Amino acid sequence: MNTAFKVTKYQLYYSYKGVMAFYAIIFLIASATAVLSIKASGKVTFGGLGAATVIFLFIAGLDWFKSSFKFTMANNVPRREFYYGTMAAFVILAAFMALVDTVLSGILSLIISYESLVVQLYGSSTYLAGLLWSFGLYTLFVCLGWFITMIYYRANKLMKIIITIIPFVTGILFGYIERQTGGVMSRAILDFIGRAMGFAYNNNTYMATFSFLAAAAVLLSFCFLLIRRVPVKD
Amino acid sequence: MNTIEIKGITKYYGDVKALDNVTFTMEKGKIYGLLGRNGAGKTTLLNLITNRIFPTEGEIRIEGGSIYENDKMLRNIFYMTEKNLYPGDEKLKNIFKWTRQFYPAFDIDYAKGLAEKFGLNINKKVKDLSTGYGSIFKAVTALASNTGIIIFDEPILGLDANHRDMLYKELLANYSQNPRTIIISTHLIEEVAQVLEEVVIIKEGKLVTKQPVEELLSGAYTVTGEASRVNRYIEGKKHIGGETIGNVKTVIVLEDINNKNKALAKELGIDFSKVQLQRLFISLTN
Repeated sequence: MNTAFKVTKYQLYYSYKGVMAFYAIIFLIASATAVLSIKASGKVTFGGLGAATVIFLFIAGLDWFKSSFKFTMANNVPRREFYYGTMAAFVILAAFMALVDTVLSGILSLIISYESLVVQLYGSSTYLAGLLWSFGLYTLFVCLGWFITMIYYRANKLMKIIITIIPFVTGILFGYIERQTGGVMSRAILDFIGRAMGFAYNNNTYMATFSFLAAAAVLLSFCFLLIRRVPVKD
Repeated sequence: MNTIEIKGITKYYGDVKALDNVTFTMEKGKIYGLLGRNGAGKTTLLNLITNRIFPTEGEIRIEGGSIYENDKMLRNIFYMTEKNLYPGDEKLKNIFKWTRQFYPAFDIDYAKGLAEKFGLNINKKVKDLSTGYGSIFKAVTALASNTGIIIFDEPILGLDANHRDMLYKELLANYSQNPRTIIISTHLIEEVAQVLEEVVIIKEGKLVTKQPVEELLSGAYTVTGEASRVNRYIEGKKHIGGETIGNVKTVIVLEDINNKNKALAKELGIDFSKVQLQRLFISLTN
């Protein structure tokens, strides 16, 4: 576990420049918006902070495998330690960014007309519920990015093409089945999303947090299977 | 510590058999040369020893313990690969710091001292290094790792004669101060022969021999002379690598040097000489 902890340190070191750059831009935009909003008597607003973080973490997840895996391989780190260490780094980073976003959202909502992503979706939320919801969502997306990049890393050329085509084929098939069944599948999916996100349970954000973390756990389980015997590739 | 046991290792890449039932043991505290022609399976074997890839069949154990995902064992091995696995945007001095995280015995001061000796600027980024300095950087990192087993895969790639000489000297100095198991895989056999204690020769994925260098060289000698006379001398003797230039023939006789037939050689007017490791290697692997 000591080695896994060192991997966590390295992974956080590897990502901190990107995180700092991201928040530098966010703070700049938020500050400019706040100043403009005060000058324009609240007519200028700012939004999408949570969505921006989700996109950032998804891309970070995509970028978070090859280079660090090769470096840890150069240091003879077992794959299991790399996996646990990286997982811990994801959790720490998701928690840190959820905390920063929650604090920033709180400050912004006092100065300008601002609603965080969780408030926009659920109407209202306590700081704790919002923090946990963001943490779950961020963890899910960083894991999703990692999972996708790992699939591509493991796949040969033919598999890469198949994996790239699958979403399009699925979309076409989905559309066909929808037309044939009169929208049964989309209703079932929306119903499932409504339940998983807690909308069906009186806008329960904790339900969504649980769903996000459960989905992240499923993705990480697949990641473990993918990484277990992964070779070093160029 | 640090005895490496390779037991019945076979490795397939798709349909290609890279290693075929290889079995041998490397004793602790020796400098080994892993020799073989291109594609013989040397790097595959080194990758297997360090858990980078996994065998199709067989097992590798270090001091009795399996190396499969074994962090304790792997902490005691440093593997300098031919390929660069370090992030290109990172400065060398930062890589030294991170290497110390994973190898607590890594000696940063020694690494810095070596870098200075070789004229390696540790403020440079990995991607800015030439092939030669890339090799020097990796070799310096390996030497400073202070692990019980250090593996070098083509450590002299791109190095000029001066740097190669310096590296051999540093390697010997490092070894004499702290004896450990060192494995060197290289194509420049004659140069590296001076530092090797034992050689492991692989041909087309199979083990040809594993012997102390001295023993290997004392088990063969070269005969040179007029072709027909050399042919007469080698009649009934096991020999390899016949090479004829004009009327002069050179053959390596696989016989203990103490069993040379000096009287016959004198009668035939042929000469004996010591066999060189590289010549023997070429003959054994051709």
